[in-house]
Amino acid sequence: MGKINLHANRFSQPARSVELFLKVNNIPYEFHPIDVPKGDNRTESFLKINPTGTVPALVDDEFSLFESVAMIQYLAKKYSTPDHWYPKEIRARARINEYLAWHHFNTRTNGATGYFIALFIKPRYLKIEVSDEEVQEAKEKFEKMLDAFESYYLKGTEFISSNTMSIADIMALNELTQLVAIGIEPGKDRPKIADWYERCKQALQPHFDDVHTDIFSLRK
Amino acid sequence: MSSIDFYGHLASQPCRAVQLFMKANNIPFNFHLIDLTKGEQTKEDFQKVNPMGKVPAIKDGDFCLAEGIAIVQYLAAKYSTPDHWYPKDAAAKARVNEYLNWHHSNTRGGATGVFFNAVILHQIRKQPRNEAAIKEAKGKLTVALDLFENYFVKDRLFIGGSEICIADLFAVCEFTQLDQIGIDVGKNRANVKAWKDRVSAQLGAHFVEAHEVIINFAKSANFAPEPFE
Repeated sequence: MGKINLHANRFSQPARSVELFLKVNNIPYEFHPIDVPKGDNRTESFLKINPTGTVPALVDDEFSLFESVAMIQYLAKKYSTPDHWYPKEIRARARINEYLAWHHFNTRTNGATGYFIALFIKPRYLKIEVSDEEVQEAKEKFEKMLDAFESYYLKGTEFISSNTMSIADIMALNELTQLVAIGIEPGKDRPKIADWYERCKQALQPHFDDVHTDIFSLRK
Repeated sequence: MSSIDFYGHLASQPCRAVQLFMKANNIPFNFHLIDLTKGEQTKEDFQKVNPMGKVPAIKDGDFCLAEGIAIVQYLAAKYSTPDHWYPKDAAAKARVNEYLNWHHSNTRGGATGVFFNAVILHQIRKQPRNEAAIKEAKGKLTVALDLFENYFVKDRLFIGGSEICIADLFAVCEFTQLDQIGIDVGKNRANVKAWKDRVSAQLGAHFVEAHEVIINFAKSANFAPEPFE
């Protein structure tokens, strides 16, 4: 099998998730950096492999794909990765798919990414003014999401809906590390989430540290 | 095999998609109406099925599951439905998964964003129109429709290729919601129009049946048309 081509940068939560999955499963890949501020994601060649212009994009020989979850699902199948990542048994798989569907709007858009946009992307990167109300609203949505995450997805289990780690945990983890990078600790006052975070982080070392050097440099 | 217990309301886009999948595949189910307008999602019985209180949800024996897309992925596997619905081949499946993941923030983010703000919040709950939110949702919808036109259904009959798949069900039900407020997604986009007509034709009587509730609701509640493009 040839190498997987991952077009990405490590500031992107979903890009880190795909890269972590590749690394932890020893799937050979080539990393093609996509610098968004420079417009690498808007070039004709990039838009050919990913018409949405988003990061990451994956190219496997002639086959190109966007959406990180779809990429990871594809890699899990193609490389027959250990079953716990994306279990074959239909009920276990359904539990993971249930989280993955919930993830996009809840953990991400209306949760952690929404909060990151209000705290960092808009003021520091886009230089758009953000009102206190907007930040407060984003914070409340984020907290509400963590409440639901903790009470439903971590209810009685060590990982999301399961006692073994899966791709759901990788996706969720990277949304939270984005906030850790700017000094927001989701595990503060939430021991269940703090424990889950540490458990996932340790399971992914040393790759976790590798993929997080860029985003964690924001802490300095 | 015993029936699936299906909890939902057909005014809901993903509920319609789940029902369409079950009907098209002759999957036996018992429909339990959860009337969202009456707050029935908070009732104890339903909370036992889905503590998050959202529809659609299913109960298959002792197994409860929420999230429309996860439900349909589960049913496709359990009932070994024809391969085109959710192909086994890694690349073909990835093509469907690509859409299914993109759907939430893009098709649904845009379409439901418009519908929720213009109809649910403003017309039904009588809150003032949140023009900023509506504008943002319309922007998302435009981008989503352009990608449909230029990518998802440009060189393909259906999102997954030459035959209908589960992605088409979730997409079309977002767009039929917009039909109720006079937004025709195929108006300025020939590929989208052809695809939408193709999907409804493929689903035939099931499509008509699944949409009776939302059509009647739109009429009785007198949904105002929403300008778009």
